[in-house]
Amino acid sequence: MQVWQPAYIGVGSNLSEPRVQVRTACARLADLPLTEVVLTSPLYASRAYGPVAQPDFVNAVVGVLTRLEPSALLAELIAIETALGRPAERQRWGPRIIDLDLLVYGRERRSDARLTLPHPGIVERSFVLYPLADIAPDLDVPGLGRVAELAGRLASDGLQRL
Amino acid sequence: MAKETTHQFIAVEGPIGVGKTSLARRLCGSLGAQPVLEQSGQNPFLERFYRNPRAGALPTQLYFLLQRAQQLTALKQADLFAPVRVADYLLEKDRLFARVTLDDAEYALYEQLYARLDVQTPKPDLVVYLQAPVDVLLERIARRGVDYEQLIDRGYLERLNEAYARFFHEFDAAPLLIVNAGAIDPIANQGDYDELLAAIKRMSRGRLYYNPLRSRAI
Repeated sequence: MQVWQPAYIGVGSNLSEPRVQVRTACARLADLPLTEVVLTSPLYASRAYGPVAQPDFVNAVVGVLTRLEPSALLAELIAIETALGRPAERQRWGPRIIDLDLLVYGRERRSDARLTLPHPGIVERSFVLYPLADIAPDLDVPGLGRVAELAGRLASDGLQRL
Repeated sequence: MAKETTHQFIAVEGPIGVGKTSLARRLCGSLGAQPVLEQSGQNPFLERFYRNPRAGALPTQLYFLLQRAQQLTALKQADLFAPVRVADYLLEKDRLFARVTLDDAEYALYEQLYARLDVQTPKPDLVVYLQAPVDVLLERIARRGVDYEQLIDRGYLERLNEAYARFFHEFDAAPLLIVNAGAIDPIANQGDYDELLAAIKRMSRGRLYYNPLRSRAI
């Protein structure tokens, strides 16, 4: 029996009414098989960064319990991105209609071609850590530490709660 | 910043419909904990029991006992990097229900099996006991709308509530937070949830009645 595991998913968008995109993606997460959404953070607005000028991002983090394996959950996230219109070929820093990142999956630590857990970007991104700290401040991110402390070390960087 | 939680294994208990599973799930999200959930829906005898309690009780209890024993034994043997866990039951509930649902001869048989199984379960470091009056339980059972649960009668819930109250009156195996769950709704109301979570994190020993006295618009 595959046991239920807690997992956290970062949701972001900066195209086509980002708030609507984020809310739509959250609704799709609620429909995933063998998965229950248990917590959804408030939405946050953040400035886009990187070499390409682009609109601001809207981000949120969703906490789920899932019986899907990490790779199966990742495949479901990619399927939602595709369904919401994200092209298969992505510009690394470019604008995106929807972005779903598997941030943490149980106590899982792994790094392979498809998936790194916990997500390597967590510690430096306030738009991930702040909403994550809203829903799971006591979460101990494997190898990194407690979310409230990680978030406390990170400047808000212009992040605004909507 | 709030004091770091030290709980490794929290068990949520209470009668049918009080909101154990919903609370346990949400706590798992907040704490990054692995849920240990009852799978009562898998018990093929449960509907039969609700339709005819006297005839259905024994197979229902035996199924639950074996299912719970298996789940908790697996937990006890689980990985070295044990995550934080939140369960929506204690094994002791199995016996509590058996005492309510079985006749004396059946219960004697059940006790023999229980003793023979000698289930080794991990010991919770906090038990959250959700209490609510029967009217509240009936309303929540109606709201969640599981077909066969609509057959549950008031007298059965009253006996369960009494059995739970007696059990926890004597319970001293773990710190115990007794929550007046009839007065709060930690699932629909974010403020109720945040306060309850804070109380859970503060709770380190002994027993405490959590009964927020607040005027609430109904």
